[in-house]
Amino acid sequence: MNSQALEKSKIIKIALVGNPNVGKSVIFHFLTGVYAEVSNYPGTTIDVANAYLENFASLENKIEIVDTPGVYGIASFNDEEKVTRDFVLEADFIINVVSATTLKRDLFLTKQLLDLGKPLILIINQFDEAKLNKVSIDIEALQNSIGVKVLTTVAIQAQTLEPVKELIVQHINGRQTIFQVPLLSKDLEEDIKTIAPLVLSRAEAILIAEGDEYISKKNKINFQVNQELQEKIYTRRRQEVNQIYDKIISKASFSKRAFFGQALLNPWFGSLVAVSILYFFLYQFLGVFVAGTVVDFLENNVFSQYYEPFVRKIISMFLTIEHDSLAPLLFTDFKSALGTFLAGDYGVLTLTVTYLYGLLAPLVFGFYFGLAILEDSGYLPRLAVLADTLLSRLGMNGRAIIPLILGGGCVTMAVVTTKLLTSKKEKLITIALLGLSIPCSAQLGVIQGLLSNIGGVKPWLIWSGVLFLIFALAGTVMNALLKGSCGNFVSDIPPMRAPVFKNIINKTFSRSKVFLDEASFAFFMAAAVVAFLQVAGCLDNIINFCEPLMSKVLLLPKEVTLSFILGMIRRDFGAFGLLDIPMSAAQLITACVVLTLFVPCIATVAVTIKETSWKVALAIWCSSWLMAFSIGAVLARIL
Amino acid sequence: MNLKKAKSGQKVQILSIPTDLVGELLRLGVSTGDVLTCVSSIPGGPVVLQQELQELALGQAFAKQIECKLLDE
Repeated sequence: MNSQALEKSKIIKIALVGNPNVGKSVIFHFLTGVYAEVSNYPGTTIDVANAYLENFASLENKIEIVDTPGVYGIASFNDEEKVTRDFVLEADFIINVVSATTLKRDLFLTKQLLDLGKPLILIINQFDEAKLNKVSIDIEALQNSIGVKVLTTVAIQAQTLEPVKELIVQHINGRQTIFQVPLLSKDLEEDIKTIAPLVLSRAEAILIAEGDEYISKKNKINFQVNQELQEKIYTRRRQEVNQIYDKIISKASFSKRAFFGQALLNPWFGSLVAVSILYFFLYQFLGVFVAGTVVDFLENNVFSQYYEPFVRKIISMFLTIEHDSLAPLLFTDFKSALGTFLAGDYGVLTLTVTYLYGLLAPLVFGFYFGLAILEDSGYLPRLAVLADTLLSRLGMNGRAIIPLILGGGCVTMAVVTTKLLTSKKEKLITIALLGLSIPCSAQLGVIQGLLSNIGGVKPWLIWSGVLFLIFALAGTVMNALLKGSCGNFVSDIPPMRAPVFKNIINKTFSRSKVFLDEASFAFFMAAAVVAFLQVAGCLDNIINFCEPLMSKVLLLPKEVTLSFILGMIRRDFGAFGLLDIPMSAAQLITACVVLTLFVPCIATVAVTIKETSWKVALAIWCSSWLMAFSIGAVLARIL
Repeated sequence: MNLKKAKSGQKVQILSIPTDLVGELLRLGVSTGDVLTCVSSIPGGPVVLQQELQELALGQAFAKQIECKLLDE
């Protein structure tokens, strides 16, 4: 692009484009100062992040930078690619990020962007890892063969990124020509000959020739997707890339990939590690340490010793607070009704705050902290490989492990990430299993805490065993009933890396905050309803009404009803008060299983309706009821 | 033989890829004629391959449709 052509006040759009997991988000953070989520597994950036280039007030143009989802090429294979494709077509300028360790793969996208005629600079990131592996790259030769400026960076070291910023500014000021739109190769020109006159740009013509139905529809062209033509263009592009690659790389020695990373892919050792991680992370870390030690300390030493008495003291200056009262105060004594509503047993200012910040927050934080380590180390894609064996028998594929694990944080968010999955069937089964059998972080934490209170590994094994069985059975049944295929499992396996502590903390905080912001309001509403029911005298009626279901069917104390009612509003509130109800070991295990299987919360139902249909959501909701109570009833009797 | 039959540590050369899969693999850097090392093959599950520094997992159904030949060490 000729920078002279830029209007002075125009916002210049720059898209960061690259294969998954090459470090786009770190570069984005450096350029804009805005934190976008960074992970060591493919497919983290589902939504785009955009922000303005930092500290360049001297420029007359505002520069908008967009971080796009990682893709292996520009097409519409899945939702991520559609998003990226649109930003690429729109952008004035592209920063193409590639990894020095996977240059052969990554240059395919680079070549495609060049074919499309987009102005770009190329950043070879993770350059230190290539050096470590004694791979040397001839940057001069690469620049000459593709005709664009090439920079090398180690994105986690900010100083290596400075030149990128400078180059962008130089380009926009027109001081340096860093890009020449390459001439179209004769072959490609021939391939798009019939399409080119019908569309606006060369980029669109090429995408149509490569089989992008969306672009043909947009241009109202009835172009039959021709797989042979796509294969011909792709094969030629791959050959061109391989030729360039062979010229610029010296394969002194490709050392073997790290032993540990490969050992995790061994079916026996890998499975052993997976089960151990599940046990240590869930039970020992989340259950014993966070739900036990940390929550106990916060609840007993901070909130109920200082915070709650303080609030009650202030409230009781003006109002009366009744304890252990289920009487309809609302109709007899308004002053004590309001006091109890605000600061009673279920008071919106007392228990709600204690629960939110003394219980929910540490558990959510604990879960996301563990998840961030698993993500950033590069473990998750390896887990996906192992899980594919099981999941492909349940109508999904290995990729579905990502939403399933994220579900352990928040099922609602996880349902949104099912966008990553390509086939409809796979998506449906994953959403259904999320709704049926995956508990979210706070609930998970409380359940782990309850199980560790009983003591021993046995309760944990029963709980996880029953859930696994339900998961496998429900999946098998759906796989048999639903038509369609479950999509091919193809996954890049990034190298194992030591997680960067700062990134782990950043990610944990930002995710916990999103979660808590959303949960706080819903929880205040839920607590307000319960506190209101209490002072209106209805709580007792509801608990008594459900008593037969609890005591006859599940053999549980009637107070557990409250947990279920709250669980319907938000899954994680289902653990509400469960810690305080005296129960036997068998009752506790039953309660934990039933709560886990019980209905998905309102937010999850809403997202499910959006991602699928209300029929599916209703079916999931109703079958959760049935499943939770029938399995609970059986469990209560055999334990 | 098909790719699923490769065992850990073996070197294979890709002979043919079915048309509906070829596009995806070309983008990932794998084309007919490439030599790959099998890192792991999970019984009833995916096969993991290495090409230079890149590792790639292919689901069982996918791997079974790809023809390859075994190379001597």
